[in-house]
Amino acid sequence: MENKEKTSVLETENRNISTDLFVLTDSQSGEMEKIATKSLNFWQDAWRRLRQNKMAMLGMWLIIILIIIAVLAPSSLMAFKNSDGSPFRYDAAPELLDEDGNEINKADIAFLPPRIPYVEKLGIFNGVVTLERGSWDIFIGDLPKTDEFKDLKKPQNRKKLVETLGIAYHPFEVNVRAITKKDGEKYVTLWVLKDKKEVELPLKEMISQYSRYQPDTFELVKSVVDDKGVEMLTIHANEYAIKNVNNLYFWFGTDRLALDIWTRLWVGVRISLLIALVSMVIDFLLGIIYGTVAGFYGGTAVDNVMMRFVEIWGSIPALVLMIIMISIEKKISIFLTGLFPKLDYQGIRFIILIFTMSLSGWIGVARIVRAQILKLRDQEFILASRTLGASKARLMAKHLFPNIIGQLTVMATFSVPGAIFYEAFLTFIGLGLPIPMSSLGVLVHEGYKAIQSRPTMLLIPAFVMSILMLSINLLANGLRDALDPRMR
Amino acid sequence: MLRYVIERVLLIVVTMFVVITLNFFLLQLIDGSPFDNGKITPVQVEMMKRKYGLDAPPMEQYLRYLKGVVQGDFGTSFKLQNKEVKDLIADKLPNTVKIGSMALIFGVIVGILLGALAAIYRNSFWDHFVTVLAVVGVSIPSFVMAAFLQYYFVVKLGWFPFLFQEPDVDKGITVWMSVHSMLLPAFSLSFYVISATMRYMRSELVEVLNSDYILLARAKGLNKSQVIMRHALRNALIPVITIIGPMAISLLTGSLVIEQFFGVPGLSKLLLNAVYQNDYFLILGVNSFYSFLYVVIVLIVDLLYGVIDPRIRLKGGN
Repeated sequence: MENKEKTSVLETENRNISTDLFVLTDSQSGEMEKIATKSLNFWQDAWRRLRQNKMAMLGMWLIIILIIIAVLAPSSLMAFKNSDGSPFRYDAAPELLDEDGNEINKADIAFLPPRIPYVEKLGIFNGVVTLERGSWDIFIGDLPKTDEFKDLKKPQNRKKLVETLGIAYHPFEVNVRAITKKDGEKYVTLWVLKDKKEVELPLKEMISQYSRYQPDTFELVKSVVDDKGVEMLTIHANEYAIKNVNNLYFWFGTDRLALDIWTRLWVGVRISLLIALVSMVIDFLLGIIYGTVAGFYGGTAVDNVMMRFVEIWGSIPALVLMIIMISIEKKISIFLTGLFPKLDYQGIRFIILIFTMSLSGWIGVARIVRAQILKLRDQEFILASRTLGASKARLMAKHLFPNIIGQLTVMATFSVPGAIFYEAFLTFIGLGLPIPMSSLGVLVHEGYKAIQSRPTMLLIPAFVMSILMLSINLLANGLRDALDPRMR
Repeated sequence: MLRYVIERVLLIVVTMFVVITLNFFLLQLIDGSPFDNGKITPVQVEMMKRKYGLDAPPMEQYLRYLKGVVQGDFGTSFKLQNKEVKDLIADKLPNTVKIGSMALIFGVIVGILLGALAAIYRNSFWDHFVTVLAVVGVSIPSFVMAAFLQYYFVVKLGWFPFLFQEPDVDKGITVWMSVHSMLLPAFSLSFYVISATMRYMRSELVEVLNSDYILLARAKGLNKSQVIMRHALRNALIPVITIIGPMAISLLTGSLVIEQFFGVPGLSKLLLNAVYQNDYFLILGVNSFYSFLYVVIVLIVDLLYGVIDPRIRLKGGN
């Protein structure tokens, strides 16, 4: 009763509003369905998300920069040039002329430390190495191997040796206290053991003509006398001055064969990346084919056999397969030479290296591809497409493959640093590329052998290798976040 | 459960059979015999071959070897004073295990701690630090790390001995000195373990902390540290256990170079020397042993996983 009364009151009030106060608008149903932003396909969407990931972008730019340097540095555009104008080669010593136009001896440019113009003023990359040498090495040096000098080397002939070489004291008779510089000339303060007194005399009067350490080529850091009375001097020696090649700059130094490490490093980056890419392609081709076939026959006997094989093969550690390959490497290279007579030794080692790396690499890919295909196969959109009469090839290409390509891209990116690591690892245990070839693994291995005297030979390639692997890992992380559908 | 274990053990047997067969026949291709030495005459080589049973056709050798393996006889080394392969392995294994387990335990503990810190204080400085460290850690190969460490801490600072030292009373090398010399190799191996564990731990713990039962525990009035200790950490640790197996294997790979670097008389050094010297049965034995270690570790991890996490206990289990 009460309700009805209320309604009637409302009705009476509303009666005063006339209908012409209302206007019909246009229909907006079309507007509501419209998508305001541009539609993006899978890759555009992934790219948009990748761009927001700062670390991934950092990684990407680092990779691009490294690749640009690796492409330009050893080519004629940016490289250091031999005297005839051709760029330095990674597998041959530079041919250079000194100021007088004579060819510089290879021994004079071998095993030089890094030296970079302008940077050298900061005290790094200045061609200086820290050495520990006995006082004999510094003051007398390598005497000619003649009978006369052999005789002079004997302890009883110390006085005669000093006279012959024209130096003030025999190094074993004095201890070095300090080397100072006055008016552009160097003076050495010596403690004479016999007289128990200190003397100061010009440094050049203490250094024989046979010493490679002439007064202007080194600074004394410290001198230590051990309890047996043997004196060890720590010096900063400028190798470029010692070898009299002061006008040259080898940015990252040279190795024992006088090969320029700057050139070798960037060629090495190229080759390491090439190895990584080739082995990645092989792994993925094999893995995709195997996984697709197994997935296609999923649940049948074929699949069963194929997956058992993968299971067993995957249970063999990659290390064991590599060890087998190293052991029988010679037979394989003989076999390969028979197969490809045109290939040289380097090419054969390259093939063996890649083959070894691919032995176990494809397993993971095959597993993922099979699992994804099995998962996708029973989904409704596949059923729908099949109902519409799509062929197997079309299903494969248009429906299954696009759905796993994201994951595969991520896996492929992650496999590159892995391959770079394995290349270096195999080089260390003796299956790497042969010496005049260059790769990051070869360089790191070479550097390790010289770690005591030229630490930069190890530190520089190891640093570049780590940066390269780091930036690829960063990019791969970003790609995973951007491409993996589970992350959405 | 029992059926599953039997199935897995059977698979291990098959795998080991394949490994031994593959190794046996591929290693027949080794270039040159272990008796390559200018000093011995062809007649002597023949005698040696007969002594080691290498004059029989490969198939006969193979069957004899298999029979030996079943009886626990892995042949003898050609080069190392005719020692039995299994004795050599037993002799060298402790050094590898010592350094490997040191790296693994240290790496896993540090990794779990850092990963947990990063997950609990998400988006803090710690988190970013840990994330960057994790990528750096997996990007620097263990031998590069070892080279850096050796250069700075041994050559430059002299804090550690250059080479590994076995405890030896006669030479005055105490156990402590031996442990001291193991620190650098162990640390260079553990760097990868730390970063892998850290990354895994962080992502697992973040996921667990975001789940409903944690919210419920919080809602019931447990304080944050109680929730993390009692509920979150336990659940996050389960998946972390799965990566310990593969990591132990990657340590074996890494130890191959590390043992060369630090002169550790371990299994990897034994193996590499065997490779360089064509020591056929030794390569075969160590390779088989590695494979065995690998499959067993994987099996243990899988079983452990089922024991710890009741959710994935297999069908037919109790």
